[in-house]
Amino acid sequence: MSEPTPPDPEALIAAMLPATGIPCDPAWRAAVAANLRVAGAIATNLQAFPLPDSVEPAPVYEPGR
Amino acid sequence: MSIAELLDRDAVGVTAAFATGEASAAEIAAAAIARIAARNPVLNAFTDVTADRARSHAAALDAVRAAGQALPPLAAAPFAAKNLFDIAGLPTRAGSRINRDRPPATRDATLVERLEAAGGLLLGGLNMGEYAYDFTGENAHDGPSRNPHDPTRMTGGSSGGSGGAVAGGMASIALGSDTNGSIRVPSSFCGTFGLKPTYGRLSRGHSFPFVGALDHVGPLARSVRDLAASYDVMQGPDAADPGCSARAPEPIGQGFEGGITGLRIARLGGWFARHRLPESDAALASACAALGVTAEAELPEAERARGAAFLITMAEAAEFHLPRLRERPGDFDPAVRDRLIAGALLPATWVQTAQRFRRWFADQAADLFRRHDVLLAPATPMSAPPLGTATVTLDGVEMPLRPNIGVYTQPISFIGLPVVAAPIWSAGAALPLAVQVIAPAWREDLALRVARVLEREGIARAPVAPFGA
Repeated sequence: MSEPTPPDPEALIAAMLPATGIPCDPAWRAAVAANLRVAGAIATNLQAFPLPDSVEPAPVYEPGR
Repeated sequence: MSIAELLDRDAVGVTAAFATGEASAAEIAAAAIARIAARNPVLNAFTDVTADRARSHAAALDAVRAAGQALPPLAAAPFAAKNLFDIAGLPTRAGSRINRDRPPATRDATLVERLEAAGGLLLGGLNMGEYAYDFTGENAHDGPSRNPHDPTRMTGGSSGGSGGAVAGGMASIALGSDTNGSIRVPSSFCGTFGLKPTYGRLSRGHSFPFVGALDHVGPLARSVRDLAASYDVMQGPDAADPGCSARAPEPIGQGFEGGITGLRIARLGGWFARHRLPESDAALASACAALGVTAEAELPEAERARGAAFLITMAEAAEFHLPRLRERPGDFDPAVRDRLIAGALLPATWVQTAQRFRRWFADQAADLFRRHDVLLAPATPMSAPPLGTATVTLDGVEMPLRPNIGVYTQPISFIGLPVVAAPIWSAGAALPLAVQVIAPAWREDLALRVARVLEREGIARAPVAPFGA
């Protein structure tokens, strides 16, 4: 098993941005990449935590409302 | 005492003055409108002033009083609402340029409606960070709201105008919203009491959302009794908010006077003891000393909780704003836009892990509350920074200021716990800094009781800032 590493922000932008349909000015990309770098570090740390299989997600939903 | 000085009282005090005939509602409304005209050009808390509406409601209240009829509980108390709450006749700008092209709201937000039904005089809409994605109170379109205790400093965001209006004496009560800290941060920087209730307790109906999974709404005010009085009249189910609980109202009444005898109160260590600056140490120490708190408790993995809230916020807000990002990306505040675009690119598993982590972390908090009734932590590491500040040095490391303002608030709202932000003025401090009084879910009463003891002891207070001093 390989250890997950934070993704390269530029690669993530290149792969995902076209699918969003957001017209991202090239001048904005550095700041977008910086935000992705922070998010990637957080996500890597979060996914390193061994959550038990019994833990369900906690979004908001109540049937019938 | 002049009518203008009467505005320095809290809402319950203003209502009492009206009820006893010390002032008419028309006089109170006129004084509040005049004060906004004088102070708002400096403080920039209000983005819209509903003067005619306040005057006509005041006239109706004067007629009720003249007829000898019973007065509602907050009769003639001036209030205002963060501009993400719908106010009939105004576009709900939510701090953005884009939204002001929307048609005017055709009705009021549920909480505006309920506060007005309780006699409050609505004075207008309040400045906020764009789309609530902000901890500073700065706004790229409307200019920053300014801290009444020092107008060169931040109000804190995103409910910056709410903090500024209350601390600046322009409204007794202001409605705010809090997704990651946006009621508690301005309360800390501006020195107001703030109540972020349990997630789902107060309706977000007819307000403009930020992150549905994390959005809370609540009051900022100058006393604990004002928090309690406004909270009581705003409770109750609302079909317009799918996240609003169906629970019946649980009014606190005068229950905030219950004291702390028998309550097991602890300060939070671990993550909440890191990133401190001298002012947050001092504020927490003052509160603990006044309450006789010596116990320390640890809420495990708070750093990961904060990170999970960060990811959910990015992703959910990005999805919500996707049409606007596609059509008008150049009209956003650039800092908000770049965060939102990044949020639109996050792998789904990151967000799903964050949502599962939320359940785990809520269980840890519930376990901690089996041993403690109330937990204390600073609301912010720092007191209000100068406007435009970009970095802060915490634990010897220079880091970006904006995201780190919320290090202590974010893990708590992540799991929806009720919090009262109590503004502490440490000995010799020129600026306030709030302590979070954190209670188990649905136990706002406990947080209000502890905050009231801090207020009674003179440790927590929310004076109107002297204007032009």
